[in-house]
Amino acid sequence: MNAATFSALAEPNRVNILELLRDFGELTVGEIAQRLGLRMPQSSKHLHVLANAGLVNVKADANRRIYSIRQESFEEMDQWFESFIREKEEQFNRFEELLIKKQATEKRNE
Amino acid sequence: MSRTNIVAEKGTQDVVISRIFNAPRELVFNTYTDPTTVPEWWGPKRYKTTVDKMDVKKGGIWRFIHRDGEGNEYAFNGVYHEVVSPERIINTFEVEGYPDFIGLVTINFEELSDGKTKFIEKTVYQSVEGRDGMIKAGMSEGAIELLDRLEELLDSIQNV
Repeated sequence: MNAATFSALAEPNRVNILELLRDFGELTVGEIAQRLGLRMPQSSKHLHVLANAGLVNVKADANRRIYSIRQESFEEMDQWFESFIREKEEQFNRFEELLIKKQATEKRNE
Repeated sequence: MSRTNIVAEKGTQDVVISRIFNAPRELVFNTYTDPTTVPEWWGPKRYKTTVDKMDVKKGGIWRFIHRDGEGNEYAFNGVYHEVVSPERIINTFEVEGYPDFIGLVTINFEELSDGKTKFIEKTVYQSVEGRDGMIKAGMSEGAIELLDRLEELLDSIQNV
């Protein structure tokens, strides 16, 4: 897990940008600036940080730069968060197996 | 995606763990309170769990023991304060040797419309520090290290 990811996420405007990209898929710097009421240079700066942290992809289309979410980094974060609850999860999975076994036994005895 | 939901809001003393089981409420409750099945599911798999005491009624005592591969033992105990079959259990939770961090546990078994049951366990510790300590202790070693790193990182961000 890369700590830079969290430091990139620790700024509210950058979280807003990611949420916009999640909802719209792809947006240009201008569109992002407009929707969030930011100035263009400010948006560019934030997008630069997000790109460096591996959170967004950028592709060039003539002189426009189009941004989108880079899914891999979110999957990585998700796995990282999951690791915190794995043990509890494993315990409940075993409990559920037991419930399924019991249900099967009850059915046979009916 | 995990099916177990754990919420421990920053600065509070509680931890809420919930999960939906695909079984009717009575079965979930009966299985949960059956001492013969506890060794099969309670605690992390790497420990062998035995039930020393489990008297599921008001005033009854429970005590479970974990044994690891090297023969070390860790015991947990508590008292049942309320047992309402098949809806609710209220009990205390103590890791033996750490009586400063006793938790008060309320478990609700909610009946869902489609034969499923929502299990909701809320534990309130005596302090925020106690709660945070229990969370760290309950996690695998790697996760503790990561959590510490996250904590350091958040501190450094806040101090900028």
